[in-house]
Amino acid sequence: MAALCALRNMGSDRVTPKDASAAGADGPCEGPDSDFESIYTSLYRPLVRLARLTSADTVPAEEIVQDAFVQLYRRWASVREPAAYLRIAVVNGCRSWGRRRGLQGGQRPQRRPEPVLVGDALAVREALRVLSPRQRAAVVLRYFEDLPEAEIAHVLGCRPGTVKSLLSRSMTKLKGALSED
Amino acid sequence: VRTDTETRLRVGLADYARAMRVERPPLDDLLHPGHVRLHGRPRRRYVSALAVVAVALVGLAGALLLTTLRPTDDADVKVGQQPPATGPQRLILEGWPGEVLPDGSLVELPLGGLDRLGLSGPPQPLPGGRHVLLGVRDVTPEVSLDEDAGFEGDPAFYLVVVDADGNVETEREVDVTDESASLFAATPTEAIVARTPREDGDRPLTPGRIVAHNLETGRERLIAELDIRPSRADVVGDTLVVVQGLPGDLDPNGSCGLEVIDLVGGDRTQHPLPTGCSEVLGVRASSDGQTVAVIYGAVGETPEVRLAIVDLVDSTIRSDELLGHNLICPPTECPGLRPVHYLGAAWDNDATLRVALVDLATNPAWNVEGDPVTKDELLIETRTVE
Repeated sequence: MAALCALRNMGSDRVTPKDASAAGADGPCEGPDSDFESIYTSLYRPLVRLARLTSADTVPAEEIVQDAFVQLYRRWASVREPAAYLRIAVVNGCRSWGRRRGLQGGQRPQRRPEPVLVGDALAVREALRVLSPRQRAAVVLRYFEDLPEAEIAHVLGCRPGTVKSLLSRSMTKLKGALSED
Repeated sequence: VRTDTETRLRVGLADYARAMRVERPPLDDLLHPGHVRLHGRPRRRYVSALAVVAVALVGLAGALLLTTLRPTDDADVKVGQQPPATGPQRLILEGWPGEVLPDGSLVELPLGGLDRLGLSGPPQPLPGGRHVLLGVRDVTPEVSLDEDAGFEGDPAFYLVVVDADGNVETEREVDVTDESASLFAATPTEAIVARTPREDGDRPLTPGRIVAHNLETGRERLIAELDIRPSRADVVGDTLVVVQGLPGDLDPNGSCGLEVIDLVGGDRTQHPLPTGCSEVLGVRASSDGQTVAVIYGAVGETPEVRLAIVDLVDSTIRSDELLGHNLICPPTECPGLRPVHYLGAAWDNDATLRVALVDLATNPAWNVEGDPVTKDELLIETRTVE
């Protein structure tokens, strides 16, 4: 946990306990340290799964989730609902990955190895890939996370009516894709 | 009332999530300062009135300095004969910036202050144990979620030459507005860089061009306007090999292309690649420039990593073989499959090729996004070309 407290004082090397004691009061170093760590422990894996589903394994999910936790730490004092904050950060991170990837021009990193899937899981992954990133996010939040449309709208930063439209168009596409196999 | 599609979707998503293997890194590793920086926004360069005044005050001297530091077209520089490389090629890895030495040991290459995940292309070897890198630098650590975290805006690409002791020998900003830069190869004196239009925005995409960036002066000369969007490239002597087939496009029907450009005469020739190729992972030309090894992926239910040997003299595919499968699956669950991840390739001589892979059966939890490669996980496949 020592590293947590010195994060804002980022230097060129790994942080030290001395740095930690000098850190400001915004982060969890002066609050209940165990809170951040317990959130990290309990939500890391579910968020990676959310990221991989949201992107249909087309983005570096671990990197995006780790980024979200770093951002959470740095805003720890002002974030009231860490789980909701992380979900928004991860979904947005997946959506903006395309722009980030665009920076790399032709020299894109290799696609990550994929888990072996069979049956509905394989069919769903392939079907998700026909959706746009925003449509995929809406579908996963609705049918995997079971979020209501209003909450999905909050995550995606749009109106509930837009979510309804996104889901409707997505389901039309998915129906076609899933019925093909 | 749930429709069949909804039910199938829920079941499929749950099964898909259960199949994922996720390893949580230690918290202290996550919060390493270097790790944090590379997630930030690339530096934006706002031109303020103050900056204009400052530039004016700097005057002619500054302008002259800039012309030497910034990449410039170098139409006056004639293409010269590059001596063919001799001896074994260095086996440098991509993803994790390391090198497999001739004795089989692994070393991590220093990045000269660049972030690993900010690299645009793997390190490229230079004589004397040096190497050159290209990547995004000076990213701003503070990123507001409200600003939609991620790389957008105007990134600062830097080219860095690192000497054999790990010291930075040269560093230079190589940004061109609205373009990405990728390091594809290097001759002893020049970095071969693909400059391609950014993919964001509404601009129609064009393949871009390949330039040779003089490592000493920073001057750039155009090598070729491209007909294809490049994926990987290699240079041997005066032969530039460019391959198309973009990883991540996920198009099972995608086709790959191979083009050879004569840097002296300008001749360009197309050569065949296997029809099953959907993404090119790597390319290495033999030192005599007559044979090219293309490591490629074929997507499908069991995505494959394959090696094609292309004879440039006859313009034929000499061989096409399976190296492994690009998937995560312990051997007990997937008998008959060989889970691997491609790392790099190099010719020991004109007939002997080494291909480096990660053995994902040894460590199914190996994370392509951040884990270093260990000797236990490293597979070296050696092939002899008749």
